[in-house]
Amino acid sequence: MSWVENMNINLFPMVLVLVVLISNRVKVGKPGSSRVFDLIIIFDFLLMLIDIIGVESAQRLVQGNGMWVVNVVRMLLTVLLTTTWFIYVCLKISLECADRRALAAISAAMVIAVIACFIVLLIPHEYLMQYGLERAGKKLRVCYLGISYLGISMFAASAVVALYGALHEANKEMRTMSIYLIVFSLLPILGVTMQNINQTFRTSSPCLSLAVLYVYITMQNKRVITDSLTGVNNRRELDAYLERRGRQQGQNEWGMLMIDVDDFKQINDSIGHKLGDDALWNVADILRTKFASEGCFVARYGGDEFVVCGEWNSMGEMEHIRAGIEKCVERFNNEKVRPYKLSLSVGIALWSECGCDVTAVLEAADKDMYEQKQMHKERRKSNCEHCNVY
Amino acid sequence: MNIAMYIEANVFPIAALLVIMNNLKRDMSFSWRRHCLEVIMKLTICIMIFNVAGWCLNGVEGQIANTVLWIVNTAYYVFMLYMSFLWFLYVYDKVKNGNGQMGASLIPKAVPMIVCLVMLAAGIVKPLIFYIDGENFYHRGPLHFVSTIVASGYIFAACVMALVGMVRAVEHEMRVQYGLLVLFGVFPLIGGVIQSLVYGLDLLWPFTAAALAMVYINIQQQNVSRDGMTGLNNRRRLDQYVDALSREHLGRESLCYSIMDIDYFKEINDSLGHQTGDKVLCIVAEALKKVYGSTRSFIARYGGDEFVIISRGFDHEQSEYYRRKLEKMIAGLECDELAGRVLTISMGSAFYGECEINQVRDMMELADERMYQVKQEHHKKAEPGCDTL
Repeated sequence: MSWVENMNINLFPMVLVLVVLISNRVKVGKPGSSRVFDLIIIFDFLLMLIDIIGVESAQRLVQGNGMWVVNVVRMLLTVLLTTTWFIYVCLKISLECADRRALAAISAAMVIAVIACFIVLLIPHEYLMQYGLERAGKKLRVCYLGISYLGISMFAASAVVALYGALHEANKEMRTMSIYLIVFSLLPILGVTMQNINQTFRTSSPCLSLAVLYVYITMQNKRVITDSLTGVNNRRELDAYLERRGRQQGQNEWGMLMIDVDDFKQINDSIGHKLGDDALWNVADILRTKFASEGCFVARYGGDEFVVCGEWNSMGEMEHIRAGIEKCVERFNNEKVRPYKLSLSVGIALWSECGCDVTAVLEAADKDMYEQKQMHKERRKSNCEHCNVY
Repeated sequence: MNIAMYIEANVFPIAALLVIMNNLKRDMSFSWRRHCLEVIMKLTICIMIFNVAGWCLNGVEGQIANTVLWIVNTAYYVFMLYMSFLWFLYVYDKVKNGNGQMGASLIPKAVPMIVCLVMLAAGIVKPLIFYIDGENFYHRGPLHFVSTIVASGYIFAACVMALVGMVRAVEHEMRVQYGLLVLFGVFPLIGGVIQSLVYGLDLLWPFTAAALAMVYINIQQQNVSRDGMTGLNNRRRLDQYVDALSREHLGRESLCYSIMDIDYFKEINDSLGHQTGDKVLCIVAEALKKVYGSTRSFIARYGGDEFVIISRGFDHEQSEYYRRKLEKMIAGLECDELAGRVLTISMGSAFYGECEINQVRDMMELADERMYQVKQEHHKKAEPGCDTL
């Protein structure tokens, strides 16, 4: 294999990861995992660069210390790259280290990486005077394979962590993310194994770059569809969801809840936007904890309105849900000390009763919600003396 | 060059494009440009496959191989021309703000492509652009340069249009977008140059694929920071901007933070329905873009019916001037669904350095307070005459 061929394969992934790195760059207050992701990209890029240099100088039959440097840098980068990938997966699964066990796993991985780096530096010089597995003597072969098995086991460990996440996570979205992470830990393993079997396949780094691209796009996707303040789906995603629902005509019955915060305007105006935001976040949180595990679709519709869609079969069932939400709100008001008291008006509508039309469902739920709101207002008026909300 | 290498060098770009296209499918919002981008990606994938197939079959003996070579190479040229033409249209549409894709004006622009296609078709009688010799080797024809010039000409023209757009654009964000479109043409150029310098490389199409990935990632990036309905910056982007501003802006120039909301929006929403409410938000957002578009302002949708405008270099008079202009424009807005109701807004502004404020976060609070005062006045004014509200 000539170095030109090797370069040809590596240049595209290099440009690709560079593009990803540049678009990931300008972000203020980005989370830790995002920084780790940057590191992965940089290591991957350097690894491909050093591979091009290595193959090129091997072809010019360069020997001696130059080769040693190339080999050592390459091995170190492999160790660092695989370790950062593992750390990244741990961070993602544990939601930025909210879980203590993630910290332990990360520290263990780091210790292993440091030990591996030392071992690499301690390998006698004369072992590392060649580049490439096909030219390697027995000792160099052992070094190369050792490093590549370390890499494979790191990726495998990441896949295991992601699998753990997929099995133990109640939230559906998180589960999908875990599955992605499993797949994209397995892809580099495939690449490395192929390269180990036949050196003419330079698949290890390009496979990893593809994984990087996919993870990045999936990450961005999540940002595109969620509302930044509350973390539930945003309006764009709701519209898309309703369109999908509208197209699968008929068979399945489903219902919609339209939820509005009572007197949100007053909370916002009288005690400030910050607490208004806090109220919205809490409403979203109540809805999320109540519905997300049941596979319902929760979205923020507008300012203080939320929409929940789920597989409910009858009005009676939905009335029941409405009562359930009220209970949750009551519990919130009792448990958490806030300068405001939450109260929600919930409108309900059923798909078949609205003539199987998405706009009609929205309108019906909206109308029902408005009636509820009027009822709440009157109720509040009647016992105004007892319940001084503001 | 080894055929396996050729295949491998093209498999990764194809896989990357497939990943992106798979993701494009999730995006439900249908627009001509999105569709166009999808077609361009499909064409690029096909071109790469034909390219590899052409190399694999080059010099293989037999009549079948000969026929397949003809077909593959013809398809390669047709797709290449069509792809570059589509890219040209894509950029043209972007520069024209979504009004560039339809009508008879397309025909003159397509003439170079049609000429090339005719030349390709004429290849049956007399080879012009390429031919396959008796031993099934591919050769360039006497007029091969025409196809290269036409295809690269379209890309180049697109680059120039994007460059002009970049120079003309006022908003920083638009400039970045056009800049990326210019870069799109540069990628294949670099690939082509390296390819011609180092024999045996095949970089043109992989680099084109990388450029497409760049364009797509950028589109996604915009979606992240943009409010889906109004097209303004969203809350997430606003927070980022304020964070960046707090760190960079050290009182070098005046800074005005304004927050506004639409009076009686809640009532409009409740009485006339959400659809009308959404429409009102959209037309107000349009008015904001028109009024503040030419200034150094950052406009974002804060929440429900609240908008934030951060203007650099504004003093009291300027901010007052633009506020009046905006109020006038909004009062004059026509909207059938509103049933003759006139829209009004309340706006509060805070300035950097005023009341010894030198934190952007504090400015937000002050502006908020002032807006609330203005709102109270509006309500007082409105109450005696108009009790439906």
